[in-house]
Amino acid sequence: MISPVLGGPAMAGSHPTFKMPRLSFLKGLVLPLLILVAWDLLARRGGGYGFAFVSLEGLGKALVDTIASGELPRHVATSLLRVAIGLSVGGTAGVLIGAAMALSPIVDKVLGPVYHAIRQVPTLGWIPLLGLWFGYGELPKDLIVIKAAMFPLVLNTYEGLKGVKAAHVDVGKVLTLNPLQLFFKVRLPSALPMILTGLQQALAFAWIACIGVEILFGSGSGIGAMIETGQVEGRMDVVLIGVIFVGLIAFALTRLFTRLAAPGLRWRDLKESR
Amino acid sequence: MLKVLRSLRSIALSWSGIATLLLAWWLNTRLGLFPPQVLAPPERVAAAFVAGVRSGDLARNLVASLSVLAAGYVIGATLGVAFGVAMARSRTIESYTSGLFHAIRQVPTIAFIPMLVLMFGIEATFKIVVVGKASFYPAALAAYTAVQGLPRRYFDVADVYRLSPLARLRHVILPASLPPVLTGLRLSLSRAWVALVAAELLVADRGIGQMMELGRQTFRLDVVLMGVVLIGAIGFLLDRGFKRVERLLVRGAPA
Repeated sequence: MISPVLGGPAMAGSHPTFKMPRLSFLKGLVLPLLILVAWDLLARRGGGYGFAFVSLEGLGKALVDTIASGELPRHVATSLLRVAIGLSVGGTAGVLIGAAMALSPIVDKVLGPVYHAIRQVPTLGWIPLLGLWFGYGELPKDLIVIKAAMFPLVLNTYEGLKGVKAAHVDVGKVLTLNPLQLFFKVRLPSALPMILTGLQQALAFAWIACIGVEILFGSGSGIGAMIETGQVEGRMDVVLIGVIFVGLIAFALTRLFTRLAAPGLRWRDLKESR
Repeated sequence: MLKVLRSLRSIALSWSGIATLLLAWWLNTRLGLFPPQVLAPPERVAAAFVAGVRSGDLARNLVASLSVLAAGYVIGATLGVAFGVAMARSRTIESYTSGLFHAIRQVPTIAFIPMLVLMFGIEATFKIVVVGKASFYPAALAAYTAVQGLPRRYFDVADVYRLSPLARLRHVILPASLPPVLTGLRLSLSRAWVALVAAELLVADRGIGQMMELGRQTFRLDVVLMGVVLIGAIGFLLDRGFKRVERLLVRGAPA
């Protein structure tokens, strides 16, 4: 007997619930296809539009070329490495600063206003300043990504630890936990979902900042640099491949994070409901 | 007495961080640890501000940035809300558009900037498109979620009154979804500002971002620092102003 899962398309007719998403998926493809066709037509018409619109054929060829030459993989690796550096350095710093602010009123009072003052300036707004200070190497780019990853984690760690229920802390005190135990057994676990939310934001912001900083510096390696070089050279195909990969990687990173973070959150939910 | 002392201590503490930074800045430039191209003294930043105001350069750049922001925001946010409502109210529209909508959402606005430069050049049109794209998404998402979350019985009542689609929109959908939509519109505004600054930093003929970029190229650290403070202050004021409008509108809306 064929199981419904293996039944494939033949089973779809007998299960209207299976049919619905498939149909709407096809509907979802109509608009992108129309745009692609219009795009291709404009590209073929040449003339003034040929510069901005590149034919699908040209796009496919450029994709094969950039992958075969190892150029695209190299740029992707550079950007991913930059995000990894930003997340590990900025993330650690963010959690530590947020925790210090949540646990010590003095640190909160001193650092709070500085934090919020710096937060007002969009991350990319710091680029000209860091460019002047640190030149055009990798350091200023990494610093911007570190900053982008750090700021949401400061806020979320702070809010998470501040939101720990007083009753839970009291129970810990009744059980004569020392401050260290209190932090690791009571405060941190209950703040964890908030911190993970912060980490998710940090991941998104770090990726955006990484692409942004690479585009704005326009030199060196990285997907952003590839896009910017493509723009300067008037190579719409290269620009488009870059944009598509930025989107694909953003999507993959979010997916990966949700997968990895889910156990952490589920563990907490179980504890909560018990 | 103790209370006064305690509040004095609290005020002193909350200013101490910023004061230390400013003092370190001032001392560094006083002692000449860094050349002014690396760390301009505070008074020079202030002087750059005064000079900018006097010459009218600052006003010109501000007007250029803010008018593009206003135009792009109004277009992007209006389309965003309209699209969000349409997607929430119509299955057909949702099934045809949501794929493309979410695919484009994966790409941060800044990554589109070089592409838009190739398509529209570097003048106002290009910047309005960037700002519009940045404003569109938070507005559309907020409107979509808000309208989707409206209780079914609101529409039952509208059915009983036989409201036309337009009256339904005006008297049921919009008032009921106002608070979350306003929050989305506020997010749109701050995203729009960030996107505009990024676009101007990269390529532009004028604007605050372009002023900073020129300052960087000519090693005018005072101008760059003034720009940093200005974009922070403008972002802050836009957000504050919107919050105030939000409070007024939500209080006026029927509960």
